[in-house]
Amino acid sequence: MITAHSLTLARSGRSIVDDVSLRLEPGRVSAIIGPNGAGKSTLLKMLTGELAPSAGTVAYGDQPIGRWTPRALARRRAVLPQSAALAFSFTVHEIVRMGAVASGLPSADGIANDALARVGLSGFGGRLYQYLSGGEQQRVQFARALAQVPRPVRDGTPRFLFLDEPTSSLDLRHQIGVLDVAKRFARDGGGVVAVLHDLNLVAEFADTVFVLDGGRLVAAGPPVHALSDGVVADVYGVHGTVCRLPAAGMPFVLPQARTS
Amino acid sequence: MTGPAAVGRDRARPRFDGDRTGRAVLVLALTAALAIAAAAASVSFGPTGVGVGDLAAYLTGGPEAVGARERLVLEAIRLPRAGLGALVGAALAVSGAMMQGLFRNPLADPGLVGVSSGAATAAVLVIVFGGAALGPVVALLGPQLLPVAAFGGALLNTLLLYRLATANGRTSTVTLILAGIAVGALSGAITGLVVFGADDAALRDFTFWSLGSLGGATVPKILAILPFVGIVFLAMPFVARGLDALVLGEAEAQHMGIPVQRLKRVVIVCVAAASGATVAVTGAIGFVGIVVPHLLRLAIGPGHRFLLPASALAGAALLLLADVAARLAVSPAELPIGIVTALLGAPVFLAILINHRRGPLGD
Repeated sequence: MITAHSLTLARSGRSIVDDVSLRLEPGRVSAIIGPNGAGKSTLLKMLTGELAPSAGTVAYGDQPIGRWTPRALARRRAVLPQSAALAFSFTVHEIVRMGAVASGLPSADGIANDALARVGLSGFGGRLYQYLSGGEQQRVQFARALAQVPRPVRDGTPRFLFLDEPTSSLDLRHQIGVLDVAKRFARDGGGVVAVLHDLNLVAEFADTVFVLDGGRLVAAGPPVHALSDGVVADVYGVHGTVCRLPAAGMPFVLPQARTS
Repeated sequence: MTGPAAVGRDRARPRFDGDRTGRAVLVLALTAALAIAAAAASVSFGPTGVGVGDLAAYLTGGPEAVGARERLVLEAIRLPRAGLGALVGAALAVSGAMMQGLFRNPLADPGLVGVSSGAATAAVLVIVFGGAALGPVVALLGPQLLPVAAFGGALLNTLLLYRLATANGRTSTVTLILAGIAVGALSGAITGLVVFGADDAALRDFTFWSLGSLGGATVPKILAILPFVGIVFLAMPFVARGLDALVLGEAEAQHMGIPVQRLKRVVIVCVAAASGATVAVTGAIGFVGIVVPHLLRLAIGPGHRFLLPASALAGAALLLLADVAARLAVSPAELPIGIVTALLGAPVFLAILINHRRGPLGD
């Protein structure tokens, strides 16, 4: 389990993340949502140890994140970043293998190969990363993160996947494909934390939703509760868009249904 | 495809598409052979008429197998020159490859972006003021003084450059090159001022040093730079994985368990040590640090586990061959070796720039 207590990050007098406390549980997909500039990515960066908070603490298990060596932390959690261009031409296989090597497990080549298969990119190993489409690059990075934590639970300890907008460059089929893999990772005992924009994907795939607005945590809970019309209206300023599927009461968002 | 031979090969070592390890091992072996051949050529060519036959006799039959004159030429001139050339070439190429990895930029070369100028400024300060003000330090460090000073100057400029050109973990090519020009110009101006005010004796020392070639190679010179260059070679296996991860980005490297700040400090010290030490003994020799890693990346990819040692071997080979060319071109006179490396290197540099503009990296 990962616990964050009163996380705050201030830059030049402005709070980007303001007093956020939450618990990320293994076996669940946790989604972080909120409008642009709500502090979602910044919160994710503090949870992964990339940024140190101005105040508050993050703990993996019962150890504060500062006590973890970079190598040990890399075996506990992997991160899918928002993508960027590479300066040198690595092959797809070489990139995914970097994640596999960071896992500390033997046979990095085999792990990399399996991770590519899981994201539907078998046979892409020999391609040069920089010549792939944006969506393919994103799935390669996802495979690299998977290769870094190839087993959702290792030595009795759950591993975590942090995904920053994992579907931003993907077509409909691959959005579902990537989140399916993430969901299975959680079902097998690992933890998944994803910053997502598409509320319909959140409704289907998330077990817990954290709603950020202006750096503050304004709602948390299962999608059925957190994705209410009231919350969406407050946070995004769009009214009347949340509808419910009759069967499970699963919410879905229909922008055309807005009333104001 | 599925014949018995292919099956047998698969069993020996599973093959993965995009795994360039096999090719990298082959290229590493080729560069090693090339370096040995270049060393043999360097020892065998020269104006005195001592040649391949004498080298073979010397190597197989011992020092007594050749005449006294041949032995003197080999031991006092040719072998130190080949040794220094190999060491300097390897150091230049490795420091180039490391710096390019650190800046995530194929155009970062200590000679181009002002690191070598910093080393040169520090070396000139020592040469000019070394007699008077630095007397006790000179006595303490002896022949190490020049490499130590050059290392200090190179370190200062590398740190300055990194501060200037890198923001939020990303380096912009334009800022890097412009900052390099500015840092280099500042160092050049200080060098000029110092030389302008120098007395005749210091000026003569400076002139000899700045003509920089492998010509004055001696065993003490080799020993003076060996610790600096040796540290860099020893560091190669420890920074390789980190530099690979750094290509994906600073945060990404950190996520993969690389202690990024420590890695950067180690690499900056390595770059400064290698380029400072080489400038101290041979003056600035450009482009080896760009050409060698660039060509090797085309052959084996950017993975630093093989790129760094292959750069060392190919850098040694390139500088030795350039030195042979410099000696033969206008024999019995000698071209400055920097002219030869610039003739080879500048076109490659332009080719990278043009690709850079067309490719997905333009920024």
